[in-house]
Amino acid sequence: MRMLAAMLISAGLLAGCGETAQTVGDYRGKTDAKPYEANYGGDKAKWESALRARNQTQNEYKRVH
Amino acid sequence: MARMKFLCDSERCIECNGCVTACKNENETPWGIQRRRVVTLGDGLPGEKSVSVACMHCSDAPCMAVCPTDCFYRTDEGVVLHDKDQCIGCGYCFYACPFGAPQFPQEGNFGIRGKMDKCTFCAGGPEKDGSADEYKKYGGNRLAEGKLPLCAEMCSTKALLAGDADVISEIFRERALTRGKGGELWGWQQAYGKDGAPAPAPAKKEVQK
Repeated sequence: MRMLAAMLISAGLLAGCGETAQTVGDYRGKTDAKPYEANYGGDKAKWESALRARNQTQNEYKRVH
Repeated sequence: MARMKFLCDSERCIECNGCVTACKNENETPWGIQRRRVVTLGDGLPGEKSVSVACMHCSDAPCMAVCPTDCFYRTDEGVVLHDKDQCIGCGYCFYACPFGAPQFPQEGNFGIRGKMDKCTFCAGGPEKDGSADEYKKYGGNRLAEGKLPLCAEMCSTKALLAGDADVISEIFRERALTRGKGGELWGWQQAYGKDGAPAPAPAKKEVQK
């Protein structure tokens, strides 16, 4: 009887260890295409260089000089 | 390419609201929906500062964490987007967002809250890129066209920068070094700081003479 009670108590104490991790759930919506697929034919490098060039238009030190 | 980010240089923002107008025009957002807005601190007082605020596309986005329908996703470029077909308009993301980015249109006869709308970094959503469906639900997809968000590209003083984090950080660094002040970035650490990193200490209040 005492053995059973000890087992039940230890099982109860250990129950808290079984908590599942609280992480961000997996996305459940539609899948999105890569941004370089529609207009750049999947050429990621070309798309990236276009964005890099575009980015430099925000740098007036380069635009002015 | 590293990661897309927004950066607002409060030393340069003149509160013209050009970014707000550009955003509304590019995305044709409905009445009452402001994906971007300009906040002015100490309005009318000497030394007032303005900041253009929208979704910062956080590294550890709280909206993603609280969404009960898991309608948010992050692209390879670090842009936080959501599927409006999955959104139930509960508003949890609005309470979680430190920037007040999520917007809710009033729909129906009784002003029922519609599906959440927010800045997409001009990257559309999970519909066919450049399609009418995508435009209707999420607005323009400039990123797929090799362009950057219009708010930043339209900014007259180039206070608002958008694009690859390494590039815009370098542009800002060069500026701050040249002028010798204003190296603080509003919301940068909150959005992109390391997990648990404390927010930067507020700047010392300047004594008004």
